[in-house]
Amino acid sequence: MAIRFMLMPLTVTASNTRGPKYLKWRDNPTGMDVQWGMFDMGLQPEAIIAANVTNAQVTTLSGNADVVMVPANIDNTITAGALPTVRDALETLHIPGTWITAGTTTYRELLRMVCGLAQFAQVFHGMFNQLLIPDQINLDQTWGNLPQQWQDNLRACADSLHYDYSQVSASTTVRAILLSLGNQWGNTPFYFGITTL
Amino acid sequence: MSLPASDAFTEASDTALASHTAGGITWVVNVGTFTVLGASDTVRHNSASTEGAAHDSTNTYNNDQKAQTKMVTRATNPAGPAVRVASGTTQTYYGYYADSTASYLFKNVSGVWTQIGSNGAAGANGSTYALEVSGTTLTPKKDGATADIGAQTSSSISSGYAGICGYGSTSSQIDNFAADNMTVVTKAKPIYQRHTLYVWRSR
Repeated sequence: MAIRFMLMPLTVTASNTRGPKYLKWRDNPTGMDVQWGMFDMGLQPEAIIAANVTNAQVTTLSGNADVVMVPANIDNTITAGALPTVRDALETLHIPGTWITAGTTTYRELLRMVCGLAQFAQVFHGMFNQLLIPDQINLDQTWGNLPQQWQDNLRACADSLHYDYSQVSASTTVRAILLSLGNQWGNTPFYFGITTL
Repeated sequence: MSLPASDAFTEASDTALASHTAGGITWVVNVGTFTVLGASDTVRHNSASTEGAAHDSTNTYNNDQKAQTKMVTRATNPAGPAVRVASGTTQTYYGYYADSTASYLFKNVSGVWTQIGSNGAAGANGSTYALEVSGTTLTPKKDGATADIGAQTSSSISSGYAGICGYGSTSSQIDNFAADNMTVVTKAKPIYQRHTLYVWRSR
């Protein structure tokens, strides 16, 4: 068994409870029975998960089209061959992916950005009970064209975390903003219960 | 009452938690239904298919805080400590509770309940269950040691009160609520910084 990171949707039950779609939790007793820890993307039903799994379990989980399995060695760089798949998987989930440089960016760097963005999305959820990226906003939009309320909420959320958004201008894309917010977590460890990133 | 807070849930007869003041705490129920049981001097949640949480509104807690309860009689539905419970009846809090099947670390943010880590060991009568939160680190503890679920990072909730949580009807019965701010540990200075250093000048 080994710790593997993955992106996985969350099941949202009729009672508004949430847990990993394919793993065992309170309201999914028949899910895969493994140790796991996770960071949800705030109100967005998606999570970055660390799970202690066997190779066979990795194969099973990877067989689901909505699971993005990160390679075992997260200190490897993302290859040119893998880049399109990685980038598209992220962007589909409203996570910036175009910043990745093949042969330079490691999976660890990518994971830390995603985890940092997840923490920001959680704060956003906690403060406003809203999705960080609602349906009417996409990653290509620029700051100047965003709804005023969303701008105000983002600023308030960033201020609560003492994040710097002084570089944001009317032409800054949502993609660039989210990338910056994800990276401002810095070097503080992320605790997943069974592992630390 | 000042911190540390405590409540042994002593009552002569069954009493709604919001009406229970014998412990010196004014309990505000955010959601669900809690009853202090006179026969056993314990508290349990009792509302079918419903999450429950209540907080100690008497005291003001730092953002970094801890809450603890003792499992007295485990049942099919869980009960345990909660931290950063919102004021009033807002359904926002971090919770760690256990039942006869497992233990669970979770957050409830404006009524959206999310389990944060995998199921932990089943509840054990006589064991203490604590939840500590420091910054963005949640640490569930059983009998003083970090529980099998492990410490988790979560940024959803930044402040609130210590309290208790539960789920469902006739939940596990818990007792001995205890809560406090997390202690800030100041490291002692090294010896060479503790004493005045005299330097002899040569003539």
